Amino acid sequence: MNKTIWKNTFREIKSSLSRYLSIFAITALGVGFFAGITASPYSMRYSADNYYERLNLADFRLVSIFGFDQDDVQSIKELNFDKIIYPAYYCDMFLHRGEQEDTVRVMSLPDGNDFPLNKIEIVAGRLPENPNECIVDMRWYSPDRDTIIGETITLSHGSKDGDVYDVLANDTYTIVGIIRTVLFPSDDTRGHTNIGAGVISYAVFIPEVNFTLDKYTEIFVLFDELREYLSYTDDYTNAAELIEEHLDELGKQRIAGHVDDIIEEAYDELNKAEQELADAKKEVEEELNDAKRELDEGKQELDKAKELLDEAWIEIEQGWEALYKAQAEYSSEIRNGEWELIFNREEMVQAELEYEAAVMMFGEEMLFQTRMELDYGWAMLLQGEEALEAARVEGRRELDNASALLDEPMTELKEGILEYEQGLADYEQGLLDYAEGEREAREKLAEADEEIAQAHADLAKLIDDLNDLPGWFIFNRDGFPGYSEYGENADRVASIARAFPLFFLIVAALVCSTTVSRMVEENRVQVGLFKALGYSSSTIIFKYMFYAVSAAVLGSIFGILVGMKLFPYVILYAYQMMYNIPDMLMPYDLRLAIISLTASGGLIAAVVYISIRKELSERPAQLMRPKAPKKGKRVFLEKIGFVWNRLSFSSKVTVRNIFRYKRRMLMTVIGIAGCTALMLTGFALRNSVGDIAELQFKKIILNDGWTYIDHEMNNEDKARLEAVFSEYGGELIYAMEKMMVCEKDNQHIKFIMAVVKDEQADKFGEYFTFTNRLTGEEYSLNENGAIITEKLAKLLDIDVGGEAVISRSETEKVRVIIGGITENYTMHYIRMTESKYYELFGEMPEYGVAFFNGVAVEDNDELAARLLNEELVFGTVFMSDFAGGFDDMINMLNLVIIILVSAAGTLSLIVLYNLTNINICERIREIATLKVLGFYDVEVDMYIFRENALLTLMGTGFGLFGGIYLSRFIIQTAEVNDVMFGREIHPLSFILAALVTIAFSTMVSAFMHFYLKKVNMAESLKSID
Amino acid sequence: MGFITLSDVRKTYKMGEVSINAADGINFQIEKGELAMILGPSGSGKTTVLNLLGGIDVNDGGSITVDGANISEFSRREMITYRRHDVGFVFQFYNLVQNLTAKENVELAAQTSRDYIPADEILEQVGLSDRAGNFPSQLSGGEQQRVAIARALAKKPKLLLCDEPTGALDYDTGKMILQLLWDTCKKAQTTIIIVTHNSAIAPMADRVIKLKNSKVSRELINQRPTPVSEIEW
Ligand SMILES: Nc1ncnc2c1ncn2[C@@H]1O[C@H](COP(=O)(O)OP(=O)(O)OP(=O)(O)O)[C@@H](O)[C@H]1O
Ligand SMILES: [Mg+2]
Repeated sequence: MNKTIWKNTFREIKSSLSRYLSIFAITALGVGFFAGITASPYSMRYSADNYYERLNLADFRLVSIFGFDQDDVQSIKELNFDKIIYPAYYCDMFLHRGEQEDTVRVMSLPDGNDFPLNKIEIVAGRLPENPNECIVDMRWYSPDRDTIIGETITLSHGSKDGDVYDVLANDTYTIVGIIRTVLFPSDDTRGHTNIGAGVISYAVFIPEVNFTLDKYTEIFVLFDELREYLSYTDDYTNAAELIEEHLDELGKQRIAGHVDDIIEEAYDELNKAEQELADAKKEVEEELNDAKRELDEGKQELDKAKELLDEAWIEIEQGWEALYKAQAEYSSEIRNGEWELIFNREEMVQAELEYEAAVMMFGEEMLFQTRMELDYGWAMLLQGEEALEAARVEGRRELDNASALLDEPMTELKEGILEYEQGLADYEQGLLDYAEGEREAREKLAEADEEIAQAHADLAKLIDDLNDLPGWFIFNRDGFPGYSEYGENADRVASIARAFPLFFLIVAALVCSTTVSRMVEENRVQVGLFKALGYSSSTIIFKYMFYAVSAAVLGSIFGILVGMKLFPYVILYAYQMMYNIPDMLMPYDLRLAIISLTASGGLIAAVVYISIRKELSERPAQLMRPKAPKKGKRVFLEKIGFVWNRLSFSSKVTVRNIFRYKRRMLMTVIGIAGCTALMLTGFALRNSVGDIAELQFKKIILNDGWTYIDHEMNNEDKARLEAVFSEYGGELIYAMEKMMVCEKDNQHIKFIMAVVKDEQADKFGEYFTFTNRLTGEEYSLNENGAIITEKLAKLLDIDVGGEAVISRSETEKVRVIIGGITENYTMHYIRMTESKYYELFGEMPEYGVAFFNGVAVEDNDELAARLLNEELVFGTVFMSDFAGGFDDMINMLNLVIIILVSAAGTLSLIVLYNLTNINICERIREIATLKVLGFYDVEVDMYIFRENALLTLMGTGFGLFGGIYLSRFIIQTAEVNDVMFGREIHPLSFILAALVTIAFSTMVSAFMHFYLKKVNMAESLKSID
Repeated sequence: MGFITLSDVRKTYKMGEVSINAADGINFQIEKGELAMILGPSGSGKTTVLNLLGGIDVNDGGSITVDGANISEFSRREMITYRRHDVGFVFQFYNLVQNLTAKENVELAAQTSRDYIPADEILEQVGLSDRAGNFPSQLSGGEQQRVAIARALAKKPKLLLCDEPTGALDYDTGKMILQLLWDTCKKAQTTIIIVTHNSAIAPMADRVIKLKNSKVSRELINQRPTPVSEIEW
């Protein structure tokens, strides 16, 4: 290169500085935007990684159902990697602070507050110095965040019958500080738990000494090897996966060890139990035998007694017989004696009579003898009678004596018999009792046998289960709450970066190419001159190459330097609203810088080459002659006389001019359309995100809130709960809401299965909108069956009538036919009735949620306080408290949108300026002519800007149209899986995008007005171009 | 005082350190309805004087009076209005708007004017009614110059300024254009000033002003101008 060329080149730059600057500016903007946005996700990851590394964020968190003992810790130590191990305690508990109850994760503060991993940073206050002091993490919802230091809190166990003292030595702590922990990078979540409403509100750190557990509950591990990888990159994930395999292996071994111990113990216990049972059996058998033997012995005795009794009976009978005989004898003797006496008395009476008679006849003397005899006879009779009487008495007495003699043995015998009979009865009872006892004993033994069998079965199952244990639960960082979301956000920015700036770059490249080719055209005379002077083509090419490429490269460098700081900064700043990642690092991405630089330089070089090659192919003489001005041509519109004739003169000129410079027209329209589309996308993004809250909380969720209840609530409890609500005019619908997972190409998507009773299904339609967004069809759970939310349907790629595959376990899949796709923006749901659920899952739903409606907002606090007292109510969410939650996200997006809109605006400004500038330069003679003809400034402006205005309008129109598609694409890319952004673009966004474009166009026109005013007629008309 | 009076008109172009006097105290007068011709070698300041007269450029010193108005004191807007209504320009390279047909080029000037000759009529006058719908690129140089003249005349200017109107044309065409200008001058009583370095055509003018080194070197009035048809060069 000789000096002339260099001089000439620099003079060229100096004389056309505005063109040089415009190439510079366009490349700076295009490359800056491209490199800046593309570098942003890297900056996000880099900043986060820096923060994680600075505070030693663990790579893994291990949890074991058995906890961890020193041996476990030791076993990790022995793993063949350089690492830091931090065994710690945690327990999810309820924290009480005045009336307030929060579900928190209580974590241990190591001795001396010296965290080997997951370090904390103090936001306010200080670290605990005493065991009864605590610090809380900065995600403290209450507005009195500044005054909580110094407050006293009480912890209670998470489960109803658990005792806080099983875990902690002390349940009351004083808050001394607020901290930020690297473990929770997101403001959004602190993870889930199985107590309370299932969501952890924040973390509380208490000195380790308070924990009375004998085993660690979690171990954090950081591997030096993973430090060198940037978080959220595939490199990190892959390296971490390799290490995770080792940990997994170790975990399995350790768990297997624990399992063996447990199984052994269980076996021992079982054996003992069996032994005990055997012993018991023997004992029972013996006891039974003893009892039996006793019974038998008793029986023998009884039999013997019976024999004796029988003998005695015979004897007594004999005695009685003798007695009876004696009695009979006595009786007959007495009777005989009586009979004799009577007879004798009769004889005496007869003799008396006879005597009387004789006396009469014979007198007494004569009969003295007889008298004597008679008296004797009477005497004898009396004597006889007395004797008989005596005999009778004597006989009776004797008989009585004999009888009395018999009586005693008789009673004895009777007693004996009674005794015997009693004995017999006792024996028989004994026999029954024995039988009963034996049955019972046998039953008990059988039961014990069964129990042992059950225990055997249980043990077998336990062994099975234990052998199925996956080992430790290993959470890599993706399992840390909020960690992966940040990465996803970075990915999202990356996906925007893929689509957005490329588009931007293309527009910039197009504009650059127009500028460069215009430059070459303008310089054709000079090119010819150089050629005529004998300069080689390459020298001439070099000049223009140098001109354009230096502008582009300088612009790119400037763009890279500024863009790679500015855009990441704004994006990091935006994400700081949602994430507690304080580090903001915006490293220059050298690779990206080189790529951008080479791409822009290469592109422009190609454009220069293509434009100039055409010129160079011509002969110098030809080049030095002015290029014939672009010929006038009739446009197609002129053929339609009906339209054409109606156009004013100036409109005709405008129309013809637009079609005269087709290429520029195209560039302008594309450029403006692109900018409008970008702006519309920005505004659309803003309103679609803004709409989420509005749509979800006003259009989709029609209830006033819900309360988490114990699903075991009985009817009485429910009635009480309903009564509380009805006091405030509210009514309830019970529902099951259960997290489930559905499958799609090995991808697992979480969703909420919501179930209501069939008879409440119609009413449920008043609590949630079940309407298809596209068709407007309204659904009912009873008629349509399972209803799926729109985004989930999209993720699963299913339509009405399609099948959603819900995986309940590795092997168990439930297929649900979809009866309707309903509009929904946050979370995924599949909803169905109880009968449908039962049909599909074979179990009844557990109703753990009660949605309510009809409660006035001003009653919320009072109702909430009332519900707090209900033991079976776990927590209440009011819709009215909810809608504000999106503000942060919207603010963040506002920033992104400001970036987009201002970048797009700047681009459109430059595009328009540049193209207008070219337009004016190309037509400078025409303009000068107009001025000579006495056109006023405004008329000259209008002559040029009418075209611009028309092109702007066309570009805006196309831009709005294309913006619909671009925004649809961007919105879908930027969307989080769990959320569906609003799909509708508000009319205002169209208006704004159009207005901003038109405003920019007007600004360019205003600026150009001064340029036009300065156009020198004499000068412009003098030159022969 | 003439219809056009220049007195001590100065124009200096500054190019960095150097300043060039393109008009260095120029004095002359032209009467209404005259066909004046400004002659001079290249660089003598002919175009400069014409531009100052036409309100395309502004003089630094002296005064230029046209029809009683001192145009050198005109504001920017007055100057435009002056160009719009009072002056017609014809250039060496025609300066037609390429994207407009012959008729439209004429209309372009006419539509800005209060009082104008309809495009068809004026094209008829210059003998181009059958080419009215053609674009400049479809016309010969002479035809283009005729369109340019038609455009300049359409707004009935007080003053028609022609800078080398025949410079790019062949002999016959040049002659035809000169004839047209002469006819215009005589029929429409339009004052015409023609700038040329070709002194051979000077006899057709009523008044000839010769410039040299940015000064008027000689001024002569031709009582009996030679008809164009008789002029040869
Ligand atoms: N815009 C300008 N800047 C600097 N100098 C100028 C400018 N216009 C004219 N000149 C100078 O003023 C002088 C007179 O120029 P002018 O164009 O009036 O000459 P001319 O007589 O018309 O010549 P020609 O017959 O070649 O057209 C010249 O020396 C020229 O270089
Ligand atoms: Mg000249």
